[in-house]
Amino acid sequence: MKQRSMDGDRRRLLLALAGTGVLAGLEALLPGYARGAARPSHQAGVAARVPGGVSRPVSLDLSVRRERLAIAGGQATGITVNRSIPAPLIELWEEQEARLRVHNQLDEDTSIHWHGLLLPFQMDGVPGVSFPGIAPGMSFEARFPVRQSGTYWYHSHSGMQEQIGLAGPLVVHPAEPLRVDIDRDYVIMLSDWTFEDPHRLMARLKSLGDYYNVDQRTVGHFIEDVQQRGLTATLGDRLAWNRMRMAPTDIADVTGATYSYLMNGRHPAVGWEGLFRPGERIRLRVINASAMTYFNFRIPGLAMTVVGADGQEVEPVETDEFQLGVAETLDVVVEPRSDSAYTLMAESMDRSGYALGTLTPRAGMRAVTPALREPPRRNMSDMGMDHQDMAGMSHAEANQEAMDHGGTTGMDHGAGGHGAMAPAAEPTVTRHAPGGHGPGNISVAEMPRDRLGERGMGLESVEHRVLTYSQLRNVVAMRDRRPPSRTIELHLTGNMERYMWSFDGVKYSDAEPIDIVLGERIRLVLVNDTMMEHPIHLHGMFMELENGQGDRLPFKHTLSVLPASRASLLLTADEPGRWALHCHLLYHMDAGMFRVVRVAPTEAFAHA
Amino acid sequence: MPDATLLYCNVALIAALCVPAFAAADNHGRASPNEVIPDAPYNPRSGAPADWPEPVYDDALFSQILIDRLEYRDSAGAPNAWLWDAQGWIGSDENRFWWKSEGEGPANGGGPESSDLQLLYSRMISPFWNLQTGVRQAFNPDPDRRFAVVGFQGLAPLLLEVDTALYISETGDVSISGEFEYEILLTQRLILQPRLALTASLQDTPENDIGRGINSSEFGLRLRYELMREIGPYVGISHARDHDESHSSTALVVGLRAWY
Repeated sequence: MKQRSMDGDRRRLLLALAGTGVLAGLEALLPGYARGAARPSHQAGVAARVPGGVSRPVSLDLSVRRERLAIAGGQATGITVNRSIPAPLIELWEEQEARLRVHNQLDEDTSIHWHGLLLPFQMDGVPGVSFPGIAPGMSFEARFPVRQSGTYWYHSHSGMQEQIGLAGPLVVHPAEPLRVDIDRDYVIMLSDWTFEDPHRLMARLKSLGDYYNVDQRTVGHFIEDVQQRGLTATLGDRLAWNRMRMAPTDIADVTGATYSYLMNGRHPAVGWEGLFRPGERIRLRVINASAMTYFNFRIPGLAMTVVGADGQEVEPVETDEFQLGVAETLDVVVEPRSDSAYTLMAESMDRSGYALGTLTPRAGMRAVTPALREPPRRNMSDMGMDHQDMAGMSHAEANQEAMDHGGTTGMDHGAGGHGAMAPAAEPTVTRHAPGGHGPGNISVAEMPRDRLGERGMGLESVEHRVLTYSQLRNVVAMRDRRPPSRTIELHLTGNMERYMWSFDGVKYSDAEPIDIVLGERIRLVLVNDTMMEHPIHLHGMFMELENGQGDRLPFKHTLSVLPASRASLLLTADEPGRWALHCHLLYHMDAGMFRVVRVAPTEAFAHA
Repeated sequence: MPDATLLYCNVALIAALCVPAFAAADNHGRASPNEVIPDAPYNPRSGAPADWPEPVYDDALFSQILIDRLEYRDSAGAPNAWLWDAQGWIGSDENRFWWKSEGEGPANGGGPESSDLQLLYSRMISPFWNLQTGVRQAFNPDPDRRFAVVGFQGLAPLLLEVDTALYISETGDVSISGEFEYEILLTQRLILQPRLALTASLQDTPENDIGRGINSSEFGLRLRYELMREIGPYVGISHARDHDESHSSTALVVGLRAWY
């Protein structure tokens, strides 16, 4: 809370500075698309737009440097691409060739992963998996034919470089015009910025998992709760959480206590600005390029029509707000008709801050910025139990006790668990198999549920429409109708106390690749045993989310798996290669929530 | 005939040369399936060539130094004193080298009256618990004593910080100690911490004036203000009792908790 008001002070200072024009200097390092229209220049109005144009092969040079720059209202050393943070917009054309040359001008290795793109795995940009990385002073050319269209992004896959700037938007224009008809096209890239050294941040989390949670429950909250709910209920609740040694305020590991939230690289004190003419149809390509932050995105007074998810077209569905997991993208179309400004409000999920922008008919015009809503709280269903009955609680306790003594290796567990082959999607409630995934995992979701139809954290009771995964419907019918030959079940596990994160309680360094035969149709079941969301990203192939949309399952490259939930995906392994599969929360990945998936012919595995 | 053979050979050669090109075209931008498993030795975790770096370094070493109490005690019924109570670790998530040190001395100058140092190997045995084993050296004025140590340190249900240990001296005497701390958040930064520390012996050791049963106890209540998570000055009261000498004292304490 204290931190929040400190941030408020800084914001007020920034506003004051903005008034005097001091901040104009900050603009210089922003790439064209992130530069606001408010800037008095010839670029006004076209900045931030996706230029598009005739289909052509693209050949680009991207120079990666470490340099000092003005960002988020301060001065910092970040990692730039072609001297800007965020990295510049890359536009590619479907059915054309891309030649993207990355020049490393750092004194350490770097890499760039083209997030969501289908390409030969050697071009995928994951050091240690798809290529050796790019040494200082060296260059790497990612050269591939572009096989898709849509909204994507790119970022470093080396160390913590993504956190300190190396991320940018990537738009692929379709060979055939989409069915969506639009007049204006903007990229909205959301990110989180810290002035701290990300390695120090990780070290702090290892020492104190709730270091950045400055919204913990205090004696004041206790008194409030007693007044509202009575002493018995309040004590019961405190007892329940404290017995589990967890906190309902644990929404995000890293919060506004250190983060500034940026929209197209701009601090909310300045805000991003995009122009429109009333009546135009505007596509907003919203990209969550943050390291750790989920955003809730809305435009008060304006309905949004979702037309794309993770770059892939979906049947239009209208909504008022959506939650975007880290690394997901969502395309929406809006049609502001009145001659007034609209606020693009991207609240961090824990509501410790926000990124801000404005759609406006005239430069400098602003709409009201809504106040941050009350921080949400985890409840017992996030723990994989039924609602707050104490019977369920003690059951969970018993399970936890069992786990304290237990210790199974995850893969055995997955195979021995509920991995039975089902002819069709079976998104039903399933009881968690025995075993607790070892000391690296605190809890198991006793009753992991299908939560694809549920709203994200903190949006359960807002009074407008909120997008859920179950609403996403592909525009094309499923191509591969074979039943899956087997199920691979992965449990998302962690220990917040030790800041350990893993799959099946086993981190990358203790694990082996997951092998899939080339051409095989498999089902991937993700069970989230933790009480927080994890955005699970598979490189190189789209997964089809079994969300009840029949043969129109939407494609995903990153799936946000809600706490205590079970999600099922279908995958045709038609891309040979070594592909990374990981949680896209940067510090979780770095802690070992990472695997390699190998896709190769049977005979190749036989010889391995 | 030789001509025909040559022709066939050429055709075969040309066809063979063309295969990779066709294969590449047929792949439509996909990698060749033959390139997934490297010919050379590979890293069993990533499947990539063994001489490549790791994609993530999840077994990196971390460390912490925690000065839990660095305090001045203004006592009624005992000389004023200062003390320290610190520990630290370095290692992975599961395996850590852990040290602990405590000591105290009179405020009116001179060195520490008593101090001790433990060097431990700490193994994570469950999500919240470490099993610690090692040695302890007590630097009393006279004589120094050595112990073997086995202990449990962790977070008990109800969020109680627990540090317990069993000590076996060189002469085979067995003693135990326990520290229990709880944190009550008055605000996000103002924290009230009750703390209970006990030591006990399982036998009489007259040469050290220690009797069987509880030897010492301390109950403290410290109010800390965290300037940042790492730095928290505090004030508090502490009631200590020496059960062997049936002597107790109450002190006002002022101190600093700090870690990095």
